[in-house]
Amino acid sequence: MNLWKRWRHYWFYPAPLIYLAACRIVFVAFQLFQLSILDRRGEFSRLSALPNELYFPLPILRLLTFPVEWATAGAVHWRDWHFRPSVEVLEGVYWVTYAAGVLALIGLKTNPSLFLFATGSIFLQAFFYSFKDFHHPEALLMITLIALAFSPAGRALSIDDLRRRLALALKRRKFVNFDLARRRSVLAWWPLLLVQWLLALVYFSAALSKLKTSGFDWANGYTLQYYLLQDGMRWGSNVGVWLSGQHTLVWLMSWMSLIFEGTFFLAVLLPALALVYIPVGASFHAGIYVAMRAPFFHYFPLYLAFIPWLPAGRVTLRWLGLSESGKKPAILFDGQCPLCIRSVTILRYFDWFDCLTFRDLEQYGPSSLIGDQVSRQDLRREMHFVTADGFVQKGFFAFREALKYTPPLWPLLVLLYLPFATVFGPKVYGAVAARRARWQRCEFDSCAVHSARQ
Amino acid sequence: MRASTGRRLAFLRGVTIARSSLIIFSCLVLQSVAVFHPVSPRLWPFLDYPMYGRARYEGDAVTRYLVFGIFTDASETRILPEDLDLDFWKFEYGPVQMLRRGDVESLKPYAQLYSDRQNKRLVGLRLENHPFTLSDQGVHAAPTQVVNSVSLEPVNTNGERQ
Repeated sequence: MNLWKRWRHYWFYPAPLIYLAACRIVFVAFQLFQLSILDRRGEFSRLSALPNELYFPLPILRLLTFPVEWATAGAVHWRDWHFRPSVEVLEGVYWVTYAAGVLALIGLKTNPSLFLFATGSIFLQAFFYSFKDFHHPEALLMITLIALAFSPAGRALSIDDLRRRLALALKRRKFVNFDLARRRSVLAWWPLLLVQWLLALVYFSAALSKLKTSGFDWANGYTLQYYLLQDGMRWGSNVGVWLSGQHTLVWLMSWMSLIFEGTFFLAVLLPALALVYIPVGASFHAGIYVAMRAPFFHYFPLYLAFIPWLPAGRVTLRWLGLSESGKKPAILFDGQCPLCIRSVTILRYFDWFDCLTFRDLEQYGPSSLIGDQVSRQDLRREMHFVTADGFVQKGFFAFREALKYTPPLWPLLVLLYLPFATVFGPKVYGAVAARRARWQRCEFDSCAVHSARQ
Repeated sequence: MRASTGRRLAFLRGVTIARSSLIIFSCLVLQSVAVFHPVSPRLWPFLDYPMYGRARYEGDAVTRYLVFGIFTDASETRILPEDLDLDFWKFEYGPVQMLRRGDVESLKPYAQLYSDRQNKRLVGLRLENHPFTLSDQGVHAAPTQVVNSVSLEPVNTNGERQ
């Protein structure tokens, strides 16, 4: 196998799109949260008030502001690019970035939104670090967001994808079944693998610099005691100050840190080891924060790139009794009504763990599941939820029951279990179902049946 | 028709894979350069991670720098990062480092910033270290050291500020 084939085989083998999409949601949500808690006005005006002598724009900021520099000052030498954004410009960039982030989160025009969000985030962070000090926690997430912008991160778990599926179903005039968890792409794996390797390089860098600077003396216990004391006093962590006096414990922690950082790349080469390295890494960063106040929270979402969470989700649902192979509950719906097709497509979209089956009345008929208990006309009137042991719910209650099997929609259950929900829920459901028939917008027979009956 | 569509899709997929490969390769090369030939922060967001790298030994002192400002009437006050509206790190990499080096010219903008904010003119700055020594028995305060003192105004031959 030549080098290019090996490269392609390693980075571009088919992987489920849902992992990449989930990472997009988590990474973007985390960065949006960071933007939300930023003391925007205070920080912008504080930095803008600093004298120009203290402003040393990072090269990436110079690159991003080059068009403005070029337009206002003409062609100038690279070293002279010193465009300094005003508070108003920073505010504008902030809000455009934030809006792009929201779109990237929900997956609307996902790739352009992601690109804008990543660029805006880099711009703002680079500006904050253009006053002679910089920090490390955000760097990896910034690189990751840019990589995601060039990936098919919006081809699952996105409004873009859902709209495409709804359009396809309506075009074909039937519910088109799909399994989001099984949808694979050769382009779905490289961004996650890249995050894994970048994390491995970052940890390796930390271990390497310790060994290059100090050799194994770094793990003599006193080194970590020193830094625990220094940061404990500096940032007011009693845990850090207390730990600095525990020589043997700190000696042990020093060796664990060195081994963890120096061998983290093994979790990339042997994915099963991630089961050990990821919890250790999470504890490592949580411990560093408690003792030294070093906020490497940005690494927590990035760890998701290592976690195959679908099997874990299936096991959890089985444990909760919501997923048993061969005993999946069925949703019986009127497959000739656009509103029903839309509703069922949306339900299926969130059935990530494949807990439900969807039966089109016109294709299968009800008799195999519930015999002659319910007439075909009743079944057409509202959605039915049927379990393998014959438990039947209909209308609002069928919808509520189905939500229990779709974990991403669980927050809606809170709403549907509010007091009086059982009074108002069926009325709202009934009104919507009735309007469906009255609209007569659909061109299918079933709508004609409803209309004719009424 | 179907064959040409298939060829077009295969071509597009090839282009996407090539583009993605370029991104992967660039990211890995830049991150490796940052790790093995550190030039931080010039390559930001590609950085090396050298924090807490220097070994320490029993008896080493943990430094704790305090900056003092001297006014025209010879009175003194401790200058905190908040007085200059700086965070800890900007204060540490700014005035503290400059004071350690005795870099008066670089310190002047900070002195001006202080004067603007506090309405008091600084004529000098002093950096003190209030260290703590480390042992496996606990933490002990060590004697205070004056690291550096600088005058921010020219001094004439009689030793008076001009």
